[in-house]
Amino acid sequence: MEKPFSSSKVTVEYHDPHDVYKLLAPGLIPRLPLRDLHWQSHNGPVRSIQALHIELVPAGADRTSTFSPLTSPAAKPTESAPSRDDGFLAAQVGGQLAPIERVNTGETIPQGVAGAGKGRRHQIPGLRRTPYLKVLFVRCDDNETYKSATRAEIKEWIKNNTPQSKPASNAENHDAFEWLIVHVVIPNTVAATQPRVSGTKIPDGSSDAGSKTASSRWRGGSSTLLEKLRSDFNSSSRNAVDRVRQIRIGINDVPYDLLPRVVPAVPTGYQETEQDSENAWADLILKFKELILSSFDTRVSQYEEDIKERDGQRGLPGWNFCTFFILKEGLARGFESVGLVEDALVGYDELSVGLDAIIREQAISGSAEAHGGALLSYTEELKDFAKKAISEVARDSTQDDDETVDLQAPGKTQLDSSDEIPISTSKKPYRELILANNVSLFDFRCYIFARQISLLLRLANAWSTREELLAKLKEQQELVPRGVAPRTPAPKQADESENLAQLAEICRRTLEFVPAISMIARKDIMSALAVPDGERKDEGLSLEDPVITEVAENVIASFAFSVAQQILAQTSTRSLPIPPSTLGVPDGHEPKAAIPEPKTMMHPARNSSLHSRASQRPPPSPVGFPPRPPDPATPNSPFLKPGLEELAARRADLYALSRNILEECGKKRGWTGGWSSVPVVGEPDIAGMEDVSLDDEVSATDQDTDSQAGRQVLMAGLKNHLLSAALGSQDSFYRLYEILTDKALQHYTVAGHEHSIRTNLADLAVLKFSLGEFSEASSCFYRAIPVFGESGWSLLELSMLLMYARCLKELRQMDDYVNKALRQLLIKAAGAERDRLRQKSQLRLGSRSHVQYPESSSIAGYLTDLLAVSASLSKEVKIPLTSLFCDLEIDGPPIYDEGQDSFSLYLNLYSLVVDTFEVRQARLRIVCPSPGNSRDIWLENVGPVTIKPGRNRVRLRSSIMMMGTYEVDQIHLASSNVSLHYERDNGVLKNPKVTLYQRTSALDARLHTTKEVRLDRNNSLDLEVSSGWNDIKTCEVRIKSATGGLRLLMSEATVPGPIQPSKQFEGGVFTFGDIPPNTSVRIRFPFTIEHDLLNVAVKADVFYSTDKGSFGFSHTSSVPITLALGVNVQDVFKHDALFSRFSVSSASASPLRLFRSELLESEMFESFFGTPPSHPIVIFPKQPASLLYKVRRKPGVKPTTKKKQTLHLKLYYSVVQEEIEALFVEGISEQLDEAGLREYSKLVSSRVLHFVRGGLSANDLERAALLGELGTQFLSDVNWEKQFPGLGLMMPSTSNTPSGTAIRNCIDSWLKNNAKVLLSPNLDGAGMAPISIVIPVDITPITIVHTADIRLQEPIASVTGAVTSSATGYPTVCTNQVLPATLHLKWTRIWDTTAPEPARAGPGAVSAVPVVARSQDLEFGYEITAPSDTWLLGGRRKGHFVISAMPDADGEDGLTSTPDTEADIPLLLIPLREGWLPYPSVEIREVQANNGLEGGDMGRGHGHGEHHCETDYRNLGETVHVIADRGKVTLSLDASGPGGGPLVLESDRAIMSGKVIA
Amino acid sequence: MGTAIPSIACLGVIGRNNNPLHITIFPTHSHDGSQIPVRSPLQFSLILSSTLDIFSLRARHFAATNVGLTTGDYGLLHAIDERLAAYGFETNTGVKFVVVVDMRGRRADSTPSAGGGEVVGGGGRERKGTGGGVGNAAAAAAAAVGLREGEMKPVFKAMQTAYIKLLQNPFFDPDEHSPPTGTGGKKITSKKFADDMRRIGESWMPGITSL
Repeated sequence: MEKPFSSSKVTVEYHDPHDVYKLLAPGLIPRLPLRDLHWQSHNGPVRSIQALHIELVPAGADRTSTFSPLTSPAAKPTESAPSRDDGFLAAQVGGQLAPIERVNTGETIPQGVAGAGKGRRHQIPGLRRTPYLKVLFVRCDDNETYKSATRAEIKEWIKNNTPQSKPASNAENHDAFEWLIVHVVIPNTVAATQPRVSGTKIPDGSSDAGSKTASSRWRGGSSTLLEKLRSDFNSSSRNAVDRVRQIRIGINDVPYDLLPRVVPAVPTGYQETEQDSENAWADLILKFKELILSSFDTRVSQYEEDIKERDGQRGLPGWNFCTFFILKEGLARGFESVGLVEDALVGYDELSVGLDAIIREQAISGSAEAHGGALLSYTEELKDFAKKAISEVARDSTQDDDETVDLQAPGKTQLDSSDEIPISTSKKPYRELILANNVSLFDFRCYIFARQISLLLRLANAWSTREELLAKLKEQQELVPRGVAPRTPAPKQADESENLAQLAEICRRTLEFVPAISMIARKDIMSALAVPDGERKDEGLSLEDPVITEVAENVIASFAFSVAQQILAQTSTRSLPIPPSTLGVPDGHEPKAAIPEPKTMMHPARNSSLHSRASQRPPPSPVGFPPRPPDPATPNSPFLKPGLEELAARRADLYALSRNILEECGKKRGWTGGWSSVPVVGEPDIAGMEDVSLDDEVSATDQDTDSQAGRQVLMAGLKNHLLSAALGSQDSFYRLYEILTDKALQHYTVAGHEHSIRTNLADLAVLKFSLGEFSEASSCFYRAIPVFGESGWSLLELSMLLMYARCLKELRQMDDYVNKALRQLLIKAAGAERDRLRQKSQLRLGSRSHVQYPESSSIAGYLTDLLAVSASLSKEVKIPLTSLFCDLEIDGPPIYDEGQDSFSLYLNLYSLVVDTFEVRQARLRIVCPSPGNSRDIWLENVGPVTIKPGRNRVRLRSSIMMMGTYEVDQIHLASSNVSLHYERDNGVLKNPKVTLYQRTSALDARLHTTKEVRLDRNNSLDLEVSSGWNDIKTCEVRIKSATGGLRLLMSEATVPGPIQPSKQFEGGVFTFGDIPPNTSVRIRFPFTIEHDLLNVAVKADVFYSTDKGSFGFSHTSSVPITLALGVNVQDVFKHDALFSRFSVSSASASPLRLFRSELLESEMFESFFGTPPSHPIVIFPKQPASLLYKVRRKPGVKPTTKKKQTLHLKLYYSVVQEEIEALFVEGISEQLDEAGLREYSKLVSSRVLHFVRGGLSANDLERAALLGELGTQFLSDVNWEKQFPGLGLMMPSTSNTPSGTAIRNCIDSWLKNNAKVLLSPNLDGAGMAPISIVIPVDITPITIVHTADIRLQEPIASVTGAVTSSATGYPTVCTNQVLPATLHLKWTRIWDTTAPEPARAGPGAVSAVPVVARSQDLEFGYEITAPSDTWLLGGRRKGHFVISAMPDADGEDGLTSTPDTEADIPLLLIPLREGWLPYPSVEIREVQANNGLEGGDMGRGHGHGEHHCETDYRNLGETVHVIADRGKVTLSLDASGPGGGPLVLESDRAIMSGKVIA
Repeated sequence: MGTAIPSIACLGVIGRNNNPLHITIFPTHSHDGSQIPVRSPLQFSLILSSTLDIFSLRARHFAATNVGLTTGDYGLLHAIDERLAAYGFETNTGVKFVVVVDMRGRRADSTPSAGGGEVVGGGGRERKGTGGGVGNAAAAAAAAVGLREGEMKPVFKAMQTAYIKLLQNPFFDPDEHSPPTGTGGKKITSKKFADDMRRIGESWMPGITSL
């Protein structure tokens, strides 16, 4: 890792016999520290030392008095002088001038004369603070001086200061150093005029020092001083190091008084250039580096060797860890001193582990001496302190309180300096103690830890260390003689930031250290007290003495607390933006600032110091750190420094640690952070958690109150001022507790530790709560609670909710109180209870005795509270039902009330609330889930309902009856202003299905189609309301259409029957008065449909009241409205009659039975029918019935309106399927009646019908119609029991049989007894009336009906001679016989029944045409056609005739042709071939006046704008039998004829009269 | 000698969704000889809850540095105060075990020195004495230098074994306790598991190598 700022220093000793340092210093100091040193370690990579500070120490001087460039003159007492206990400057933090430091100067004092290297040397190296380099500053102005004096001086110095013999001993290698001679040249001297090297101007001059180069320029021709020095003092060997350097002081740099006045007589003309001077300096610095590294290298290798050796001896007896420690530490310190802090840290870490291992081994083997030597079993200071504390206690108990003040005072002052900074290398002469094997484990660990921390602080570049160093550096620079400006500006301090990760590491180590050291300290104290004191044998301290334990714990707690505070102070940095407290807590507390002044800290004015962040800021640093404005940015701002979160978290941990220590201490005094009074709400705990009963707490407070002395006792041993001050009074305790918690909270917030934030919030909240600061507490709770709830920490959540609720109540925030707190609380409590229940049910097998949770009492009363408070709220408080109740269940099928049309449901619910409360209104809604047909019924409680904890059964009743299958949709429980609601949810409610059926005796409204259908009118529907068993007082029936496109014509509704509406009905609402039981009221109303519909549905709502209350009934029934039959008519017009043939077919798959038919005559027409059949006609779907009627025009009736002309066909029929259904219903109903299941018959028959409809095929129906019977087999494989779910037990509770079973049995037995149902031949047996349908039959008006008749003239000469036409119905003629005939044409207008409508006559009106027709002449043409191979026609085959207009439109005249107006057209017919020949056909067509003869069919069709005419061709279908005219035929029977046929030998023609021989 | 040795103050099992699955709290020895837990259940809950940060932090750290944490042992999570310290372990399914150790939760002299393993005390559930001589010494050592890394390993191992046993129960549905939806979850209600936890917590002492 990069070392951002090295604060390492090495010592360089300088000897300055000529007092030239002050001249040199201005040039030298700014060039320090040495930069960019590279050291190649023996077994590692090249280490880089960026900057190495050099401490220049004059040799032989008492540095403390004469030269203290590094010692700040106690400007800040806390930032004290460097400790001089070793040769390495450890980064000191808030150290102090400890008097004990002098103890080890025994080691360091000889350094002044260490040049001799013969100082007292401890056998263990590593303690020595010796220079890495010795420099001799020499002033020698000219060669003469050199020769005469200087050379000797230098020689003497070398002799004294450098090791004479190489190789040096091991011990000496530990102090290995190098030496250097610096020749300082003063201006205006001879030396200054010399060039550095004499050969500079002469290229051939070898660089070999000491070679005398003849130069005419130099007097004496001698070499320069530098060369002389080199030749004299550098060793001659080739690889020897050059140890001579020359520095020339510029003339401006020398103070005037020091400047030699006399200029040498002979100027050489040599001018030192700027460049030369720079080079010289650079060369010097380079030399410094080289030599320092060299000596460092020597030392390190020596140490490493030694360590290796010692380590190898570990197993040997007598091996001492302390010695080893000192040795190894020496190496570590060496590393540190050159800035290799990390290497140093590694060394200490290894030592720490080593110490642990030793202790461990000792503990296991039980013998301290066996391994590594014994450590002291206790620490003297701790012991003393503890004893003192104990004695205080002892005295306290005997003496008065005022004594304590005196006693504590001296103790405090004495310990003042050290107790707040427990971790410091300078607190004790640790190293001495270690060396002397006189150290306790406690101290040992403290020391190692202190060293680790200080190294880490250096690594972290903590401002505390850095500032110290910078200050020193500055002082050093300021010491440069005034008036002499430094040649180079002071090196800029890189504004390097602190390494937060390292700071975090410090905290982390501390967190590990504190518990460990606490253990050690405890043991320490215990063993210390266990050792009987010589002087006080009488005491006999018992370890079991609670006082001792208390004191020990106090000491430890205090110690741990101090450590935490110290580290917090050391790791505080401005780079860590800690947001101001959100709680309005005075934020002025910064441990660093506060530690020296615990008093001011402890009693802050709560209101005045709000957010005084100024004090939080560390003092402005002298260099380069402009105080950054406090960054209020969120901790998540993007420019987070690496390690920031980590550091924040660690510091937060430390704060929490301190807080916890404080809390523990407080606990003994009965001051808990509020936690002990926190209600614990029962939560399932399998292990049977041991609860701290509340009694304990009470007794604790009792103790607390009863003995003041007890408190005093406990105070003893608390060294830490902050802690002891905090524990001095309850107020300050809470104060500090709060501050620490808040600190931790803020740090955690920066670190983003969500859970820890919540934890601390909870702590704070609890504290505030216990202190009664409810508003702050509630805000904390508000923040903390939800998250705990989310992730299932329900125990926490519940307790906190309880407190939150109390807060809000105190704050009178009723709305929040109810909605946020109580509601949540209850829900959560219920949730916990539910968990408990569930667990209970799971553990039932375990047969553990379950203790009732007493904690539930802590939430008792809240519900009542909630209810009470909610009444004052404007808004309703809604709580999901399921959050307070579980095991929701509809208990059983609906219960029907006997004798009235109401039913009830039982709702089971398990209340999880501990309170009993009254429900004002309980409602339950059931809805029919079928789509598009949403029906719902609300059920309500009858009377008040009290909900107890645990199981509850609520009866909900409804007087509305709508049959169907329902599902429970909503449940509402209302109490006060609180509404508990349940919306349909997945599987929460058990048995949500409710089946409602209609009892037979209950009120019913049925929809029927009328039995009399009239096709020419709007059909109507019948709604039959039967009162059943209800003695109805008032009744209101609402009828609504439930089918789209169905319009009910309520204005035309009628109520046939005796009971009439009590009010005029309108809009489908019918109101009736009294309706006695078992009476039915029929409401008939016509309807229209907009488009063809198969079924129409009508919703009937009946609201009625009886003596037993008011009820409702609603039913939507659907009836088919399609016609069961279809009728076709075919008309045949005759001259005086019309034959109508009606073919009646079935419109469905079911056969029909047609009982009767009639064609109702109208005013104009009369009808005739033959003999009706004796049996009903069965019409099968593929076999329609045909009915023929003869219609005649009544004479003398004028055609008037169309209505009067229309005939009506009335058919009486029944559908076989309906008959069958009726049979089933009847049969089963009877059977049910017998079985006492009468009330179910409606239900059952509807189900049975369903199956009957589904089970019968067209084939079955046909067969049934044919055979008159139907097997019931198809119903027997239905599982009837399943068809009737949710009925419960039989209603008249005579047996325990479920109704479904009873019904099944009943149906089964009926099926068994009635394997066949018989269709009654007529409807009498079935008791149902046949359906009648009236079909209007219009007679199409025909303008003219012609009758064409070809009559053969009689008699026809027959072959047989007989007149045959009358006998056989057809004449028999011979071929080629001439048949004279007449075509008789007659016509009639009687079928022109159009009513005269003269007014409507118009040019385009179609209806005008017939009117015209009657009053105009109509011209017709006829044409007789016959196949030419059949008939030969003679006579007028074509012709026109005119039918004259009727003289009087209304009269009878001209209505029918008279003989006058009939035409007889003679014809001759000659049949051309044998056979039955049809008559020639006659066609009659109207001839249009304007376009002459128009070909066209004159049949039924009508041409364009012409008149309807029909031709009754009477010969249609008649034939003439034509035979051959042979009288005699002789045949030869052999096959000699043509084609092998018989040969006609002879034939005679018959001779007939009138025969034409063609 | 009245040395106090560490004992377990609380065992917590926290589910994948950071929901508490199980918490067992153990009474610890106090100087007046009473056996009460050092903290209230609520406080222990809070302590357990706050360790979750460290878990997530370390998990993130391990993910970032791509160092597979093979053991799942997170070591010391929290030094709560000078007595209590929380140690953590996370299984590869995200279930976290937290052990809160009370550094002086038990008296060393309450451990019978001769031969371990017998259960002392009829009425109390406290099970004293376990490891015997070696265990004692180790305990003493732990008392001397604090708990070292790895002291908690047997505990975690035992907890994991118990948890695995629980998972092997076909009627135990892990999804019910740590729903994949990521929030909430039910607690473990297995009595056997609870007993296991209790046994682990009561029988552990420093130096024990298996539980």
